[in-house]
Amino acid sequence: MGEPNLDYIRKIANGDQEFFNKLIKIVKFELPNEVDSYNDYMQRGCFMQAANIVHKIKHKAIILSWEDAYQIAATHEENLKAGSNVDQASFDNYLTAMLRYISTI
Amino acid sequence: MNAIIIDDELTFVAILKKLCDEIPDLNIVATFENATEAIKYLNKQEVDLIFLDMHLPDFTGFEFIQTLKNQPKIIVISSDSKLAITAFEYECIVDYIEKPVKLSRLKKSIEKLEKSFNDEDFEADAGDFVDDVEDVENTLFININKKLIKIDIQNINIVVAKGDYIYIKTEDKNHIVHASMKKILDKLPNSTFMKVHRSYIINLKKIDEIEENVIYIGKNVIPLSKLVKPQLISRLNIL
Repeated sequence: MGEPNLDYIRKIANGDQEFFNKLIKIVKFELPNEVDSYNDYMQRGCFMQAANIVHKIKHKAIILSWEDAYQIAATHEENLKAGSNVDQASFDNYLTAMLRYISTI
Repeated sequence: MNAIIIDDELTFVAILKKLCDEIPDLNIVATFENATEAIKYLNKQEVDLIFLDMHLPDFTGFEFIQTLKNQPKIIVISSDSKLAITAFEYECIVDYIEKPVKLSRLKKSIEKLEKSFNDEDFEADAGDFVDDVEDVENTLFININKKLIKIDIQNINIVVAKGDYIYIKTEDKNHIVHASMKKILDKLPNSTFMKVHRSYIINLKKIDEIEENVIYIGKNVIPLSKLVKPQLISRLNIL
């Protein structure tokens, strides 16, 4: 399953501590909102809208340098677009782990 | 060069702005989370370039482009590679960059854009062209302003269709000729040249890299048609 880290953010910040802090602040703001929207759409069975949110969460996986989370998000996004939630449980586990991680940074 | 960013993901807006700061003469003058606000801005202000995410809350990126009266150059930023082929059908879209954006890739894209600005200046100065292309053995003579100019066919990197004209891009020069893609394709040897997209012919010997549905030849980024890709791959010497 691997785990998230801040390598990508550090690389982009390139020693700019102010930017590093700013980016983490944005991720900590954006991701929980995206997860709330995703859960809402899933509960209402709106898979297409949920897929659009998963698309954004997929990018958060990139930012948190978490390849496994990116892969499951990509698969889940495609399945949702096709009307299937077969990967929901697995994806939700990654979501929980991502939220837990950003609460520690 | 003044540019705006349209992307509803604040994280990527921040990252892209940071990367753009590393590029001289590129100024991000505004950022927008949705297309509607960007349209209002563009009705009042001119910009040279738009960094456009295709997944917007109110419009798709393509719908947004169609609303623009004066289309500046656009670099599409997206992680959805399926959009790349459609993107290249729009004249104003000069490049497609996948998320996450890397500085090296962004620099390459801006260099390509600056070159396209230069090419347009050249086109404006070029005056009238005669639509006559002559083939002499391994050379191609193009008729520009009543002069026959010789081009070594093997020096041609790519040929790009632009309306009624074609750009012949060689190692050291670009030429603009009033001719059709079919006409030039007939003059080029099949063994070396291939049409990889409706607007692009490439010299197979000049390919540097192929990534998904994009071919790189020097600083040129060339869209690769999905239908043609298997044929192209079959012609390459792949280990």
